[in-house]
Amino acid sequence: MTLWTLRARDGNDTPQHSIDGSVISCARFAECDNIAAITTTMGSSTCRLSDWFDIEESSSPSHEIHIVGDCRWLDRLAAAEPGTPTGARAGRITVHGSIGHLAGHRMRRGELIIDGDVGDFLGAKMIAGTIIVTGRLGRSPLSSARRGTLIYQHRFDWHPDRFSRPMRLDFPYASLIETVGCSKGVIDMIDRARRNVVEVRRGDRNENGQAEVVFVDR
Amino acid sequence: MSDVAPVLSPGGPIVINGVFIEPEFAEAFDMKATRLILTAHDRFWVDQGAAALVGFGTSVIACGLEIAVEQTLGPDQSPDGRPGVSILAFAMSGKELERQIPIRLGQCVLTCPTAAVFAGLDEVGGNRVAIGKSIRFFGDGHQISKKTLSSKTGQTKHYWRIPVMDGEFVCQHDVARISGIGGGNFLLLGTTLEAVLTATRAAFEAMRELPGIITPFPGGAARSGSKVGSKYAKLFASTNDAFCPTLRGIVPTLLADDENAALEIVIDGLTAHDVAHSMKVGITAAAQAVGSAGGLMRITAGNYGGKLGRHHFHLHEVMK
Repeated sequence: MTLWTLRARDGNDTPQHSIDGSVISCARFAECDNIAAITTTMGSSTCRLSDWFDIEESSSPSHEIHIVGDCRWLDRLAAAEPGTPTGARAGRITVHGSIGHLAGHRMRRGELIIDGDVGDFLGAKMIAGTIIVTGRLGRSPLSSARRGTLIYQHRFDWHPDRFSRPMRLDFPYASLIETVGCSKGVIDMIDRARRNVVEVRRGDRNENGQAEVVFVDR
Repeated sequence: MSDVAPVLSPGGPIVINGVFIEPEFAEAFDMKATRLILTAHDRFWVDQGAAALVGFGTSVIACGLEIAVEQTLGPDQSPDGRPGVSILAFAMSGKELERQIPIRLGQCVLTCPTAAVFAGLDEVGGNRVAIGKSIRFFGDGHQISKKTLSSKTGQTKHYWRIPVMDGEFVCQHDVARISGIGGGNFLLLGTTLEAVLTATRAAFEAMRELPGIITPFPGGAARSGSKVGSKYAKLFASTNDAFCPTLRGIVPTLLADDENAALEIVIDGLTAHDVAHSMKVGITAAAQAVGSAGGLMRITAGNYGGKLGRHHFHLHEVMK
C-alpha cells in the first residue's frame, strides 16, 4: 500500500498539495481551514471526488483513509452518491474530528470511525457495516437502517419503539475491530467495549431491519 | 554436558549420551494442511474446546485428519485478545481437509461455551477451507457478516457473528489451505519400557511448543507402528512385527537382543525444515534425558524403502 498525504489549507497559507491526486477536492479543502492533513492508502491516479462517497471505487480492494481535523462541512462521507444505490463498500475511513450530515448513508460495508461529533441522519438507510462515534450523535441516527452496527458512548434517547429494550451483553466482535492509527479516544472506547459488558439494542422496527446499536458505558 | 554431546564423525556413527543414532531415514508424505486459532473466555474453555476439536485426530488412516494443538497462545498473541491455542490439521487431500474441518468445528467448537475460531494462516486467495462460510447457516438467517480492514496487511478480514445461547459465536469466513508434510518419525528403542517411556516424554515435551509441527498421537508417540500390507486382504496396514518384542523368534526382527520396547514419534509439519528441526530437537532431548545408561539404546526411523514418500529425513543429516 502506498501511503500519501494531502496537505490542505492551513490558516492563510495556500494549499500545499504534494501530489497530482490533490485535485481530489481543492474546492472543498478551501471551504475549511481546519483540516490539517488527509492521508489515504489509495494511489493518486484513482483518487477522485467520488472517493469521498464510495471508497471501493478505487482500484485496490481495500483502502484506509484518514481525515485529520474538524470538517463539519463535509456531508455524505462514505455515503451513496446521489443516484447510486450504495455507499461505502469496503475499507475504513477514520475521521480525527467532527463530521457533517448523512455520513454512512446507504453504507454497504466497511468501517467509519469518527473521533468527534456527527451531524444528522448518521447511517440513514444503512445496509451493513460498522460506524464508531466517540462524540455526540445528531438527529435520527440509523434512520431506516436495515443492518449494520453503531458503536457510541454518549447517551442518546432512542425512540422507545425503534429498537429492542437494551440488553447487557458481552460484545466479542469489538475485539476484532482494529484501532491502529486511531486516536486515544477511539482506542479507549473500543477497549472498554472489549473488556466490559455493553448495552445492545437490536432490530430497527422502522425498516423491519436488524441494525444494532452498542452503547459503551463511559 | 560433555558426556551427552553428539559424537559426530563424517560418515561414521552418531552417538548421543551413549545412544546410537542409526543411519536410517524417515519417509514422509505430501499432505494438505491448515492452521486454526481457537480462543475462549479463559484457559479452561480453550482446553475443553481444543480437546474436543483434536479428538480422534491421530492418523489419516481412519480419522480423516491428523490434527493437534501446535502452540499455546497468550491473550497478546490471539486475534481477539483472549487466551487461545493454534491448531494444525493435515489431510491426504485438499478435498478431505475441506470436508473434515467444518464438521469438526461445527460439532466441537461451535458447541464450546465462549469459543471463537480464526484463520491461522495469512495467505490470501488460493485454495480455502471453509470456517464460517459453512457454520454461518446455523444462525438461521440471524447471522451477521462483518468485514474489517487489517492495517497491517491491507487485506480485508471477513468474520461471521452467529447467535448462540451464550451470546455470539464469532469466527472467520475461511482459512488458507497449504501444502504440508506428514509422517516424519523416529523410533526409540530401549532395554525397558520404563526407559523408552521416559525418553518419549522428554522428546514430546521438547517438541510440543515448536512452531509449525504437531505430534498427533497420544503423548506424541505411537506404540502401534505399522508396516504396509497384511495377511488380511482388507487391511492395507498392520502391526510392524519386526519391532514387536513378543514376536522375536517367530518373525524376522529388527530388535537387538537387549531391546525390549520400542515407541514411534510421528511428526507432521508445514515445511521440511520444521519437521527436520523437530526431529533433531526430539532425538536430542530423548537421548539426553535417558541415555544408554538409563536404558535407551538406539534411535532409528521408519520408512518403506523410500518408494512411497517423497520426503526422506535422514537421521544423520537432521542431526547435523
